[in-house]
Amino acid sequence: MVCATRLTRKTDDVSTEKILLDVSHLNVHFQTPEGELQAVRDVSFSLRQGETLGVVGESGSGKSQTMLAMMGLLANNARTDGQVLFRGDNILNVPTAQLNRVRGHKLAMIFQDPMTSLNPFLTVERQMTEVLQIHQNASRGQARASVVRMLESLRIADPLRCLRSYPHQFSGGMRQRIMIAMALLSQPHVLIADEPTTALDVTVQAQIVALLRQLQEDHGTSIIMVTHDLGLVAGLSDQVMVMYGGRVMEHGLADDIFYSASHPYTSALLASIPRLEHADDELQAIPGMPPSLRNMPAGCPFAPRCGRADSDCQRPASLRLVPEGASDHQCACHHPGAKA
Amino acid sequence: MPSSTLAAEPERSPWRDAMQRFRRNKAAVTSLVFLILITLVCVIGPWLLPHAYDSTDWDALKLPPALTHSHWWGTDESGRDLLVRCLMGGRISLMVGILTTLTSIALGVVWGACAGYIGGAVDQVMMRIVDIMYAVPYLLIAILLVTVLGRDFYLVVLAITAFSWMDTARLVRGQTLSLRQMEFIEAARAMGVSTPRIVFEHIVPNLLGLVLVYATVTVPSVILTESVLSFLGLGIQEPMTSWGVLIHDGAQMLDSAAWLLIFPALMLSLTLYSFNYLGDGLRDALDPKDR
Repeated sequence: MVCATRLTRKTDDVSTEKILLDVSHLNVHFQTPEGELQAVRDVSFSLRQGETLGVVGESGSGKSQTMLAMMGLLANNARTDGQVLFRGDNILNVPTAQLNRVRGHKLAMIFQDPMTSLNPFLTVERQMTEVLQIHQNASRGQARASVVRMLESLRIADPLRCLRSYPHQFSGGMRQRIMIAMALLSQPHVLIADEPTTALDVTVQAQIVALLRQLQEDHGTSIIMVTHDLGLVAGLSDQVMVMYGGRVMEHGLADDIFYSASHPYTSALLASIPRLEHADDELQAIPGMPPSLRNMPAGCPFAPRCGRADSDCQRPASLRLVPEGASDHQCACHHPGAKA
Repeated sequence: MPSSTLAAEPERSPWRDAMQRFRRNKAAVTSLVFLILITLVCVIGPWLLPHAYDSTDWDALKLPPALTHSHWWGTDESGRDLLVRCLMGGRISLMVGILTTLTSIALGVVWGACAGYIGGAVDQVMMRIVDIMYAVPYLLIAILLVTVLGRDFYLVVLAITAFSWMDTARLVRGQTLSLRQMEFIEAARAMGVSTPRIVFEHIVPNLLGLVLVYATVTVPSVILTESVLSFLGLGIQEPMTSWGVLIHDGAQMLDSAAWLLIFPALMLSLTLYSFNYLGDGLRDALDPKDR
C-alpha cells in the first residue's frame, strides 16, 4: 500500500509534535441480508496535537462511518479491521470497558443533530455532570462547579438556570453549545465533530465554528471536523481528507487541497461552492449520483461521474503522492492534475 | 455571541408539562381523587367502625342494609358486618393490586430494557424465556405453588407477579429498541457511559411515561386475577377476605341477600373504572405530541 506515507506539517518541528491519533488501513464492512457491504475502504490518516483535520465528502462517502468506527459506535452488524492508535494504544475492536476509559474522556465526539442528542427526560445538569462523575470520580458538587465554569467560558448566560433546565427549553444553537461544552468537560485530546453545524442556521454555524477555533487556541485540542461543506473546512483545517464511496480520494494540507486540487472530484466539489464574487455564474453541480454501496464501480468509484475517466479508470486507483516526490499531498487518481 | 434563549419559565420538565395537561382532564382527576379516598377509607375505616371483620353478631344474621341499626351495609349469613368486611377486602385487594403491579412492572422493565438494549443472543434468550412463560398455564403453577408452599398473602403476590410481568417486558423491549437508535443514547455511549448506566439512567426515565400508563391497566387485571385465585380457594382465606371473595360469596346468595353482592361489586367496579380513567388521562397527558 502506498498510503503509508504520513502527512507532516511543513512549518512545525515533527519530532516535538506528538501524533495523537493514528489510523491505518481502516475497513468497515456491514453484514446485510443482501450480502456484505464495504462502507469504508483502507482509510489511513494521523492527527497531531493541536491540529485540525477536515474530512469532506457527500452523504454515503463513509466519512461518518469512519468516525463511528473509531469511537466503537457502529451498528451491531458492522465488522471493522485495521488499526486505530490513540496515544499509542489500539482502540479498535477492544472491549467496551477498555474503550470507555478513553471514550468521552480523552477522545470526545459531538453529533450532527443537537435537537436529538440530549436526553429529553434528564436535566442538563444531570447529563453534563455525568461525564465528570464517570471519568474523574468527581463528586456532584465538584462536577457541578466544573460544569458552571465550562458554561461560563463558553459565554452561556445564567449557567445555573441553564443547568436546571431540560433540553426542549433550548434552541438548536444552544443545545449544540451544550453538547460541545459536555464534550470538552474532561478536556479531551481529540474532539471529533460529526457535521456539528449541519442542522443549524448559518449565523449559528459561524458562532459554533468560532467557538471551536477558540477552544483549539485555548486548550490545544485536536479536532476532526467531518462535513460536506468545504467552505467550513477552509478556515479551520490544517489538513483535509476528501472521501468518496468509502475511499480517500485526496488528502493533503488545506492549502494544497484548495489551491492545487489534483483529484477531479475535489475540483468538482470546489467548483460547486457558491462564491460571492461570481454571484451571476451558475453553480457547477457534479452530474449523476454518488454510487450506492450495493453496486460500487469496480475501478475508481468516481469514474462514472468524472470528465477525465477513460479505460484506466476501470482499475482501482491507489493513493499516490502528487506531484511525484511531494511529501504530503496524496491523490487516488489515474489522471491527476490541477484542472479538468 | 447571543446569550441564552431560555423559555420564559425555568424548570419546565416534561413531567411538569404532563401534570398540567393531566389537571385539565376532569374524569382523570376525579378518578384519582376517588382512588385516594377509597384507599384512605379502606385503611382507616375498619378501626373506626364498631364491628370487627371476623366477629359474629348472632342477633343479626343476614340483616338487610339500613341506617337505623349499626350494620349500615347489612350482614352476611354468619352475622358479620358487610361494611367492615368490604373495607378489609379493599385493603387486601388494593394491596395485592398495587404490590403485584409494582413487582411485575419492575421485573418487566428491567428484563425488557436489558434485552432490548443489549440485543443479540442475550435478547433472543431473554425473549424466548418470555415466550415460554406465556405458554405455561398460570393456574396450574399457582395451584402447585400454593400446594407446596401453603397459603399466604405474599405467595399470591408472587404467583400473580410470575405471570403478569411478560407483557411489560415485551412492551418495554419494543420501546427500548427504538430508543437505542436515538442520538442521545449514541451520544451517551460516545461519552463513555457504561452499559448498565445507559440502561438505567438514560433509557428507563424515557420509559416511565409508558410504564406508568401500563401500570394503571395492570392494577385492575391483577385485582381480578386475585379474585379468580380466591374463588378457587387458592388466594385469601376466611375469615380474611378480599373483594373477589366477597363477590363470590355474595353471588351465591343473590336471591336471598342481594346486598352481599351489590356492595362489594360496586366498590370493585368503581375502583377498576377509576384506574382505567386514570390510565386514559395519564396517556393523554404524557403524549408529547399533544401539547
